[in-house]
Amino acid sequence: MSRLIYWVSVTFCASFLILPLVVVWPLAFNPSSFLTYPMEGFTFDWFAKVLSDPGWTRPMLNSVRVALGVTVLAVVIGGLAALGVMMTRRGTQIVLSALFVSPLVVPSVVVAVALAYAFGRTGVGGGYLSLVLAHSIVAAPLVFLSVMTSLRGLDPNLDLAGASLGASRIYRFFTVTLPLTAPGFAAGAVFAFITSFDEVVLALFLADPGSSTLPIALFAGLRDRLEPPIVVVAVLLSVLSVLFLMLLNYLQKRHAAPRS
Amino acid sequence: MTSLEIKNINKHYGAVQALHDVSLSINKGEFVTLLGPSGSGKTTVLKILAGFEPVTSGQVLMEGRDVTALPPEKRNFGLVFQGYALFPHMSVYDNIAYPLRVRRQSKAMIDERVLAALDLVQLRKFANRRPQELSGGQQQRVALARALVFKPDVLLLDEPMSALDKQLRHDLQEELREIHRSLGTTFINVTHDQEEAMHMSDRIAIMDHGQIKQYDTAHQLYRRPASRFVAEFVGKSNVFQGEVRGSGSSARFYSASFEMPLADAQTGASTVMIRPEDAEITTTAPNDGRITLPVQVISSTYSGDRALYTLLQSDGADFIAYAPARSGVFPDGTDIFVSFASQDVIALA
Amino acid sequence: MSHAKSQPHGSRFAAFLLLLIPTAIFLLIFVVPLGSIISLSLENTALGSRFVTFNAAAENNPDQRAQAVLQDLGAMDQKQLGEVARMLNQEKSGFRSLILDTGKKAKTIPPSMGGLVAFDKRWAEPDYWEIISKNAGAISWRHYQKVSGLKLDAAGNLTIAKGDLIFMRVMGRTLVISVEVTLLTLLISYPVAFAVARGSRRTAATILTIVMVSFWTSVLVRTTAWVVLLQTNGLINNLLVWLGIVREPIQLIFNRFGALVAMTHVLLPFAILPMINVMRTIPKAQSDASRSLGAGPIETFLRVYFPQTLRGVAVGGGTVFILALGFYITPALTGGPNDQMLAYFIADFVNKTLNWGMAAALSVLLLLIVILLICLGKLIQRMLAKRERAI
Repeated sequence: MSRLIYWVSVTFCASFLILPLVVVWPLAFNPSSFLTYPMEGFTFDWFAKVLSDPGWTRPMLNSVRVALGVTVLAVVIGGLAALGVMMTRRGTQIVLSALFVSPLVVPSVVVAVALAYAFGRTGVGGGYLSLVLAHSIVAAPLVFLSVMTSLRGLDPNLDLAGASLGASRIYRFFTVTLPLTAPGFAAGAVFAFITSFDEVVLALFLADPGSSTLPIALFAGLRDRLEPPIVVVAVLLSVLSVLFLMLLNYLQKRHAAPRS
Repeated sequence: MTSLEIKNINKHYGAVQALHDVSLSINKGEFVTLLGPSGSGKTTVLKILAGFEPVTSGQVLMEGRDVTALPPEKRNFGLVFQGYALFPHMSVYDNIAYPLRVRRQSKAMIDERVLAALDLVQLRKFANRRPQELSGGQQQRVALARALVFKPDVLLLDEPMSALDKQLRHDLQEELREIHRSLGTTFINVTHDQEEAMHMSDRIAIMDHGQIKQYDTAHQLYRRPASRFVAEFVGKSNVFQGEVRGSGSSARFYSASFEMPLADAQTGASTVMIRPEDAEITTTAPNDGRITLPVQVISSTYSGDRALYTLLQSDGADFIAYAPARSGVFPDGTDIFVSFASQDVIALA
Repeated sequence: MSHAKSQPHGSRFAAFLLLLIPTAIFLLIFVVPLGSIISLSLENTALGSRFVTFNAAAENNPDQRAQAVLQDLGAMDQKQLGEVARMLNQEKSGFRSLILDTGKKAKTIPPSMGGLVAFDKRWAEPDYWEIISKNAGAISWRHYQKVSGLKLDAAGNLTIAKGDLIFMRVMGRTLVISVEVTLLTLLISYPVAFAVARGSRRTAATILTIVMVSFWTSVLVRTTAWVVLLQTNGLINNLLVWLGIVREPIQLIFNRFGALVAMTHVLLPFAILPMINVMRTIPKAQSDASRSLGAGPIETFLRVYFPQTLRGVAVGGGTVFILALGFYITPALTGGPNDQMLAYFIADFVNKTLNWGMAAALSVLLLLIVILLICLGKLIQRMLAKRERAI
């Protein structure tokens, strides 16, 4: 009896999580422009259409550009923050960690209003730079947490060993700390890239027509008219997410190995 | 010739004083061990020597040069960590080459010295392995090679044997002594294992509660302990509380169970000690002027060549004594006598 | 021994160098902009900077005030005059014509109280003067009055302005939707987390993969899936019709149902992951022990297992609730006009009417609620930790 309750509820709940995605994806390959079953065949036409339509490809390129900029900036900010915080005392650590994590809990609409106003007044304006800055502030906490985790897992004696062997602080950082926490930095970079690539709200407030991103195009498309290209873009974004998830898993496995 | 000198070091952690006025001078090429129970401050001294902890007051002098404020990387002291702290992302070879690369040595020089260090610890064929692929004893030797390869002025060892099993520990002690003898480097070892300390060291500093209680050779510590703490910490002992009456050459020690002359002792309350191997067990009281106490066997531990007896004195205190066990062991409950010569009695402060 | 303590001395300077850049960036492009929306929500330059002479005039000298008003109005250009008239008219109807008329003739009217009243006798009413002096300050609570629907009348009493409770209603709706979503999320998360923590290796791995894939798929993509599924001629409606459950397609989207389903789906991983973390710490031997002591599986679950998982439920529920409060995209795409939350109106003020003051005031409100909830959560956490230590 209790096993039955268990299996029914687990199956139902897990299906609710994944079925909506799995059921919708095939429609991207359906020749019909109605997004429903039964499928009338199998075609890549919609993919070809999306990939040749500048209305989709330009935002795609913009998204990649923004996300790459964000990855670099967020890894620098978040990484420096984590390295610095680890060297401070406990009390300072708590305060600074709260600061560096805070963008995760502030609703993105609020951040968007604040930044749109601030950028407008200081002359940063809308566009590529403002998007990179805004996304970096939201992505840096993820890098920070990721690097913090790998720094916490690092044996502090390794750094001391480096010192006792005559290595300066900087030499130690590049030969001991960085190689051993590299998976943390890499995972942070993955987080940062995907966060920026998927982000809509800040982009809606900050992008100008020239720097419109893929999520903005998708959002606009959804409000406008539901067509197969929208599902195609959704499929492309999902594939990217799954690829990044796999990359992250690989990084975490590599991270665990040297400490076995 | 004094190589390393610690002068009046005090160390506070907030309100807690971890070290009280610690002074120590170590000769060039000497093997010195800091021995003490956990929390005695021996590791703090080592960290101060390594440069990981600042002192509250006091000085560390290396051949007369003040190195107290020098960061660890500028000290040229080797350190073998308790958990070895080998770099997991580098091969054994790269671990040992690390201090040489830091010092910008030529490639040929690095190769020559790393291989020599690997030979010294007999690990040449493991050069390309990762540390985590080696056994505990092998890792230990890699750590040793890495700490010695750059010819440090002093080698510090932080409980280097604590993670190893007994047999391995014994072998490594031999090896370490051999290496010490062949290199002539000053070694400073920290341990709570008195056997290890006595086996390897030229001199031992006994520490307790942040103070050095006594600093001397193993033999002196054993035969001439300066305090009850040292007497009880180094080896086994029977301690008697009592009183000294009289003074000068006619001073005598009185305890509840015996009295004896104790020349030049301070009048007043006093403590004396007798080592268990200096006592003798007999079935009848010997009549040769030795101090004799009637006792009863409580228990015995037989170890082939001899037995260690725990005996009950008439006043209820324990007494432990070794006795030859060729013809068997006295059963528990037997009434016997234990005797010892007054010149074997050691007066403690 | 803490890591910080084992650092070689002198590390504080290095820490300072490392932290310099990130702290500066966080302050400059996060903390300061957030702070600036507080000032934005109170800002009154549109009115305050137009009545400089008036603000400096002595309050008990009617002639001086009249002269000041005339001087200020006379200094405004046509556009500024119109703006001031519009804003004051919101406080009292009739103000527009009074300002516009007086402004046009400001140069010709004699600069005294008598002159003003002679030009338009409304200037004799103290009400108008009251409103000008209350709204001409450097800061103004106007936006907050609109948000709260409360108004300070001339006598200084708080009154509820008629028909102006719209944002309080939006706030209430936001809270209600967030609670509904949180409850739904917890209900669905629990069995999933349980299966990951307690299921066989294969079940756990499969379900964890499902959770991670869902978590990593962008919010917008998951919302898209629901839009496709729930539309009038979408998969679910077609299925229902085909099964004969309904004859005509039913409205599943652009209403509360659609918003709740999509939001729940989007937020599920945020509840599942903390629950898994807590459930994994509960040793399986406890349940075995309970069974061996004679409790049945259901009793064991309720008495031994469930109470220990509440910490995970609380963390997951709190996270989901806080995230739900700020939701914008998902309800905008799947809800109807009556299911829009606070964030939607914030965006609306910025994008449609360029009313930054109102957007800022609503943002401050949302931010305060979130901060309050986080503090509350921390407090509860600390209290629970204290109780656990006491036991």
